[in-house]
Amino acid sequence: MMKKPLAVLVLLSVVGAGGYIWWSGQMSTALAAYTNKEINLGGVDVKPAAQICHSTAGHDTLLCIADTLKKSLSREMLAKLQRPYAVADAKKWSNFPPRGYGDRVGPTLGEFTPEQLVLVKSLLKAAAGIAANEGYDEMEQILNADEYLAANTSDSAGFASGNYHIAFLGEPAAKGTWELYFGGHHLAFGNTYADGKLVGATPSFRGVEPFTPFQQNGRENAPMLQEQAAFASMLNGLDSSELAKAKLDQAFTNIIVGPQQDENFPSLRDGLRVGELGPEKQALVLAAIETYVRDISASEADVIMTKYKAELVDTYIAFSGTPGINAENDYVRIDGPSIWIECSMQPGRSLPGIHPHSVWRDRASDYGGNK
Amino acid sequence: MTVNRRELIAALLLLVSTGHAVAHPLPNTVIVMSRQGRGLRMQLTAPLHELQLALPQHLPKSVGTLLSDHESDLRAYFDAHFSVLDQTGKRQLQSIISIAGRDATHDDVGTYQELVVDIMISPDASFDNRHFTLRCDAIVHHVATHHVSVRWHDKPHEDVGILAYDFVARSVKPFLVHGP
Repeated sequence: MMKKPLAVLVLLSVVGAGGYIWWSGQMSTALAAYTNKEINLGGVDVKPAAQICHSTAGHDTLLCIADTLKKSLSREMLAKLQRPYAVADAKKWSNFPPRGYGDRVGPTLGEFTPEQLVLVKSLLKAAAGIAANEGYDEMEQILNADEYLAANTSDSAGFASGNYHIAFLGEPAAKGTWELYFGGHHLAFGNTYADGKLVGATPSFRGVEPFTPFQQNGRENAPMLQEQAAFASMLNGLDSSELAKAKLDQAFTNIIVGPQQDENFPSLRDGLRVGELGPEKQALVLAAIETYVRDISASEADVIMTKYKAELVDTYIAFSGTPGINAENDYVRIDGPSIWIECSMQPGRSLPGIHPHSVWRDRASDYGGNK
Repeated sequence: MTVNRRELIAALLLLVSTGHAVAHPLPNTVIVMSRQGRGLRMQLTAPLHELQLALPQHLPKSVGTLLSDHESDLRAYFDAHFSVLDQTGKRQLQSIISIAGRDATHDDVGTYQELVVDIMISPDASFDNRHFTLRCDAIVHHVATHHVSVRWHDKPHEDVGILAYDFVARSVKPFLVHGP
């Protein structure tokens, strides 16, 4: 009885993911949601949402927009969006597009009406902040990259801005714990709030392909160049002996505390202690850190930066490959008492060239400190 | 009956896919083990791209040149980074039967080249080929994000063990094989 199915399994494994989607469609309703619909969030006008919640600020703005969005949804969509708080769901993020990872929770952007997308975009802008090329703007460009891949490759991975998921893990409220969960290919955003305050903005994954500037949805997109440039400035600012200390013995072809690798932090910190550097070089480390921390609202980012500045002298920087962080297998890490940032330059998956995978984590406050 | 079979296949594919999805996006090394009498045959398949990062710098990048002019270097490399030990920790006699290059495809990286190394273990008389220790840090000793999947020949999609760099222990732990 087992021989035939196993033979088919082997065959389909060779044929690939197209077969996987077809077969697993029998089992999983989640994959049916992927419609490869293009959203173009940049073209969505958020003024209506701003008018509804104009008298609120900070976390109250999130609550106002979230409440308005929930009231606009059908019962079915509301059930998909509003989930109980569970760190197990918060951990369901990945760098992969839908074909490679099908466990994300919540509805996809493609399932919302245009009016509801106004609220979704407003919510993301309020939570992720509006720093240029960071926060919400960076998200929008990563979604544009998926539309670029869909338009310029024949890949069936499920590239599309409409395939990104959003969910409320826990009830958005002034009391209690909830997470604003948003993610898809090359993007994981998860702000955890407890009693109205941000208690965790990590894990926060960013990647993009194409990495070099590209035109999509009426704009130039280069969401990760700022990060790469900041890393290169940080490392190129070191003298030869500092650079030697920062250089890792091993090679890294990927990040090591990636999705579903929450406990993979090294036991010791490798590289160069930032406390050994002068103020100007320390400032370059902080500038690199800011390219990740500024992916949340400005006031909340300020609080986190204050903590990371206080811990800076005991933070280590390390790299492998070249200090330019612009070649295949280049890798850079910032590892402190709390902060963990790593970025890996990987070969192009769908297009020639390289593309980055990177993650910002916090040893203490990943998932809001929940395990 | 048909529905059940399709669901079984879908479930198996889901398992395969899930393991694949949370894994490294680049191909990893695979060791497929099979028993040959009292001994063992091990087929090690390594992606050339990552192997090149770990090989001594003086060796060429081309798989053709590597195989034609540096096969002895490759043999020395795998002899140094692969071994089978009995339950007392004694290393068993091994011989590399062949080393060959070939093209392969992977959903996440497209077409790439890999090296296939066939290794025969000719053990001591007391060796138990169901209970032994496998050591392999090929590639992983240098490429810390690489790992080695260990499988039995009759279950080619089922990892029975993973040899990976342990960032806590800062080493690659050996794998204790307890076969069926």
